[in-house]
Amino acid sequence: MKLSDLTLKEASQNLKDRKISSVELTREYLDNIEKTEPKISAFLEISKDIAIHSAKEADKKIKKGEYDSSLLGIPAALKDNMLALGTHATAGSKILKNYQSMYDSTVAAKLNESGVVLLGKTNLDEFAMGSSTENSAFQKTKNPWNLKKVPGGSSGGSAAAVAARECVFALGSDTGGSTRQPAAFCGVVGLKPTYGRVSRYGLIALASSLDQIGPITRTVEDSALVLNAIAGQDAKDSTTALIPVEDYTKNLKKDIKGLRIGIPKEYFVGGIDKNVEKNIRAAIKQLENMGASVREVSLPYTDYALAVYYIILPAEASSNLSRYDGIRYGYSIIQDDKNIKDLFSVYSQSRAGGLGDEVKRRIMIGAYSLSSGYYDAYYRRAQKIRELVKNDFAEVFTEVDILVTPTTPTTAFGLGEMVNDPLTMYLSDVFTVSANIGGIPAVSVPCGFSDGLPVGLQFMAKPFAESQLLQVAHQYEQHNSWYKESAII
Amino acid sequence: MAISKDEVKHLAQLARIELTKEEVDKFQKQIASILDYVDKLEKVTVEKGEKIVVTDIENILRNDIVRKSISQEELIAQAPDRKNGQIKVKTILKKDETI
Repeated sequence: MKLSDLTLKEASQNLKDRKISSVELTREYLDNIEKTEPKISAFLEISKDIAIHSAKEADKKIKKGEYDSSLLGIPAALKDNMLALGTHATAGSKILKNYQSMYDSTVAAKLNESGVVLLGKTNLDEFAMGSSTENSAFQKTKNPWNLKKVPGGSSGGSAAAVAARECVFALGSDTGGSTRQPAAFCGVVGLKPTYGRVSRYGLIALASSLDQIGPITRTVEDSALVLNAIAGQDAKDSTTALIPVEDYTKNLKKDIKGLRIGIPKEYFVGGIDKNVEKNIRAAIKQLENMGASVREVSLPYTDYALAVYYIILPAEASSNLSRYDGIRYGYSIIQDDKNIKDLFSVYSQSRAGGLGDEVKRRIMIGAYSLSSGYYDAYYRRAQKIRELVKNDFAEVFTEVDILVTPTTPTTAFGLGEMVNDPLTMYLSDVFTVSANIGGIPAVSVPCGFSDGLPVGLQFMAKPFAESQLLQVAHQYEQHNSWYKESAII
Repeated sequence: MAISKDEVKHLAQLARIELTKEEVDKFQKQIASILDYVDKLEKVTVEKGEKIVVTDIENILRNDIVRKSISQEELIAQAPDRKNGQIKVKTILKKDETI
């Protein structure tokens, strides 16, 4: 068995017992990256020197008998929209191509304190806008299970890197499904915690009422271990909740007898691939056999969640992205055109040259829905319907503990298949956006294959019920062996 | 919902993004198809009223304590145009113009 076949849990046990060193483990991952990257293109930056340095520090600490964290000496990667000192933070955009992280994001600082070895920064759709990672200004990441397919997005680099054994785990960010959808496409575990569970300080903002950072891992237990390290209130992000952080591994081993599981009927209408549905139905049957009580439930506003999302997200993004103005940092037209005369042209030409099509589209839609005359019809209406979607969840969670759905309507689609059709691309988020609209936690777990491509099963829970969410997901996962399958590249 | 070329140009101006003629044509079609999709929200009856609640959290305050931050020099080090420790921008007001 290769060291890079170990899960996070296994690797950390081996490090703790001093059977392996962090330097050995890190070198194996750096070798894997060197071999695999030409085919997968998951990384935008490889921080080899930082990695070797941290690995040596971790080994010193372990030698001194100061082993104090399950993440100590574990090689990992960050999505390139998170700031980490000593690395760039491009957000996959030309406008931030040369941008150096000015400070550590809270998640980077927390991982650093836990002794994580940072291998590098992963590819993403520009400013996390997209579902295939094809909107990156720099490169196309490939799906490790089939190099002609997309890895999903926007955290496609993180999911592909985990699936291709290029890191033990990675962090992604999830605004409408961006950790869960790529995790489903790449056959790994992707978690979106409750809104407010993990600090976004130092995460390049997309839509601030929806954004949340979450781990992408090989197993649910690994996800719990990473969440333990990154969750918690942060003075630098005032949306973080005061609710205490639990040990999210604590309940994993408990069985699910008597647990009430709801299957929202609105997630099984039209558009869903037959093989995907077959896998999901089989998983539901299995949960029932494991002792859960399963029943159909209804979330009547599901059909509107995606439309709500595509009004609220662009509105918030148009405001968040106004900071890229060619003045304070990032690409500026004045670097290419010294004769440019007025300030307006500096703004509009820097943004024209620095931003990609999807970003321009969403900024303009945001400007549209916020502009006078359309504000009531679009933005206010969307916010009101958002409350209805939230109420749907609040009501259904009085009847059941957990919801189970497909993560995506199909398996990974082909590279280039949807780039010219933004609306069809948006529809691949149809099952994931509701959790962001409602602010609830959700996780995608592998539940089989269709034509050699992984299928993802989504679990959703009440706000701050991550412990229960991960328990069910872990129990399901351990009753199967899908998580043991690895992509052959 | 149809959107005209002039509206697209107006949006681009609001968003401070210069568009080519080809881009105006392309974005007109794409934005129209997205607006068509989100128009399904018209079918939902929503209550009128001012309040929009996004989160239950409000007024997170901290003590007013002076702390060391990143230096000015470092903070502006990535600005494309600088002069005398400040960020340089193009003229905002024209000669003899007042606000």
